[in-house]
Amino acid sequence: MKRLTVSILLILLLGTLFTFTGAVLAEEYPDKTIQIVVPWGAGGGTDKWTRALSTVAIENYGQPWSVVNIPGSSGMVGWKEMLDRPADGYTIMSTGMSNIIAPIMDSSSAPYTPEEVRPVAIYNFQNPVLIALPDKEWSTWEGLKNYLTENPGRLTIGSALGVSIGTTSVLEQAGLEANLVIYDSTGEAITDLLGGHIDLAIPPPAVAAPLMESGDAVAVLNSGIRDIDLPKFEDVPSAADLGYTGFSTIRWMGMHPDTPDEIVQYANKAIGEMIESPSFQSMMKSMGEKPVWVPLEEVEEIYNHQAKELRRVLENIDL
Amino acid sequence: MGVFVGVTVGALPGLAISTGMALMLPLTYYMNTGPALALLIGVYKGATFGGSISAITFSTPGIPAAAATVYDGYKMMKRGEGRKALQMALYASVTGDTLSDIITIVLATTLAVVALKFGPTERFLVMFMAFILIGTLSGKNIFKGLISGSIGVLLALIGSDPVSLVPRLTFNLWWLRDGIPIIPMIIGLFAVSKMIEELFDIIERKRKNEEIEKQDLSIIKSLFSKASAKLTWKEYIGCWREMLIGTTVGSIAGMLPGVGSSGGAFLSYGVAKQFSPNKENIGEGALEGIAAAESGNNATMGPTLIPLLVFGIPGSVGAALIGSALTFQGATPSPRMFELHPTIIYSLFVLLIIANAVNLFVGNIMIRFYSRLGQLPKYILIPFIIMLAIIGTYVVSNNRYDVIIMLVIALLGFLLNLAKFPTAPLVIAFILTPLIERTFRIAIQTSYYDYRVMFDSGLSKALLGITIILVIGITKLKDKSKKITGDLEEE
Repeated sequence: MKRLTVSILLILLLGTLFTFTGAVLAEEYPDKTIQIVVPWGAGGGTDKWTRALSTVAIENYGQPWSVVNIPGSSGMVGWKEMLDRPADGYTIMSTGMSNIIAPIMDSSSAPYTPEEVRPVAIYNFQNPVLIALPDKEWSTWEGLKNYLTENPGRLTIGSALGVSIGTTSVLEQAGLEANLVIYDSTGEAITDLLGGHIDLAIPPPAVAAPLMESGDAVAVLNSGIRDIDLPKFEDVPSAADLGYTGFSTIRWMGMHPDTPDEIVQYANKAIGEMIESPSFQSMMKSMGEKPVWVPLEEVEEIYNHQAKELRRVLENIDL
Repeated sequence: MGVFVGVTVGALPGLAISTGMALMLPLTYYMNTGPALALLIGVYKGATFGGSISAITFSTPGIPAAAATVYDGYKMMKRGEGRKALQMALYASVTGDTLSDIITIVLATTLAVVALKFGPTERFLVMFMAFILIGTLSGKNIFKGLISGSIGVLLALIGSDPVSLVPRLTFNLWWLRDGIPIIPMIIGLFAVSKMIEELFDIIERKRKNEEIEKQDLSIIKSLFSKASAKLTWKEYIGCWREMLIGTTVGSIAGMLPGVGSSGGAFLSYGVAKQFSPNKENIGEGALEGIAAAESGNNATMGPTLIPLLVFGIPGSVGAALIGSALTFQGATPSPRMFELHPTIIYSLFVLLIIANAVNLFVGNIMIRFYSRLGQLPKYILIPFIIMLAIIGTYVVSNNRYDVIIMLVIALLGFLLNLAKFPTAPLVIAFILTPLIERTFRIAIQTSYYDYRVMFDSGLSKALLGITIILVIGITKLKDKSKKITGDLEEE
């Protein structure tokens, strides 16, 4: 008898909870812990950024952030997990580029398309830099252009896939052809560049900077869409300087596509406050990283541009 | 802590080193670099010695690498010299291990300097060499070894094509896009498949209404009786030749990707049987045999990290798992490891040496305690390990698909064991295939599809030459060790 009473009470309680959550969802958001799905293993770049951000969540977001790593299948498992959960703003995915690339390459079986997300924030741009050994004919953009015009396809560029998109796109716009070799990691490509086995490589600025500092390599092109705010990069031409459209890899956050507008707006503003909080800023500075904040309209615009550009480049280039 | 777990894991038959390490790996996700590496290296080293405990006491090698120890160890046990045999195994393990660690520390730094010379082609040829070695060391039945290796290659090809990123062999299942991850693979193939086998074994016996066998307690008792003699200093030093052979052969075997500790143990046992002054008695319960086998398998431990640290190539499953832990810590093993992460490398070196001292200490205490653990009834052990395996697989990446993959692989492993196919070539081929494929394609692409690049540099010619010599040399040595293995099988 007792058990029955308890069960009935529980059912009633749950029922009331469900009715209420529907009605007051938007106004009272957020009233519980936010789950942040990172579709990559703990310790990776995106994971470090997200965990650093989560340290300032309570003060600025109003609720704590709990970071969950759900890696697998180039980040598709994590994205799918986000889609499987309710569109209530309590699950946010924090990710980079690979799980946008994967469903494009694998469109027949992928469990989602890159459009099935509501982007809420972009917190970091990476502008990959094309670098070469010093004193080569192709160590400047002009030299590179001349060399490839005379010897089409006879320069080997080593790069990890994500960071190669910008350079591939700029070369294509300039009507140039190079031998692009996709490496597993940037480190491997740099090692081959320094050993003289390949002609050019495409690291992120943080990796290029020490090599430029030591004189082991020179930067030929910033293929990203933003200027690089590091010493030694003032004279490096950017895609925009040369009249082309660049491409930066982004780290961003997204929610379920059906999430109510008010929640998305709240999240974008609150994440902006988190990014601008002094303690987060100083944390990222010590890691040599530069966070950004982008207003919501621009987030959607940039995300859509990136997704479109990725689709175009990936479908056109012959890897 | 690591050594403690390691010796336990090693002492339990069926729990391989890789299983112990794989189960520990998720824990390191929540640790700092130092403790994380210490835990893994501890398990790695402890288990290699621990495997000899059950090999000597029950004639059941706790790990494949301890198989060569069974022959002399168990005979000594039967003569009531079990304690002596166990101590010899411990001291030989630690000696071989320490000497080879010193070789590692000296050689790795030298090798790192020439790492830049290894371009895409040379890296491919090193992989090629390792791949050839699996073929020559794949067990008694080369044919079965090759089939098992081929299955490994096929499983490794599942996932996206590394260059064009087009999915292949994925049966249109999106969650197979990144291929089969290594941890579900290892846990499934080694731990769970073995447990399925044991389970069937128990069911079979129950049906026949047989009593579950009881270990002969008199043997165990001899371990603790005062009468059982301790190992003397003189006996230890008397085995210096065998330990030297074990260290040298083990170090070389360890450095070569894919040879591993079983190869090291059997090769050094084989060499010792040829050259030891006491060679007639090796195999009849001689300390020399234990010394050679145990120093041989533990001497592979340190050097197996050289290819990992210098080229980013894992030389064994254990090294591969240490590699994963390093990657997690933000230090992906690559030729520039020494430049980029010197602190991690040197802490790794220090840990390698310290782990030996701890192994000696813990091992001495555990010799008494752990030889009993192997007696735990199987009906308790099996469900416990299966539970641990499923939870471990899931926790690594909160990914339920990994559990499915693990269970399918376990079934495959069970079937392979049933048909007496060795599983070691499968795993080694599985690990090497993506590496060899990537390096090959990068080598060919960077040379604008000119295959002559394979013979271009002096280094690549030298590597090809070494490969040929190795194949000839090992085939000959294998004939010798085959005889020994053959004898062992008859026992």
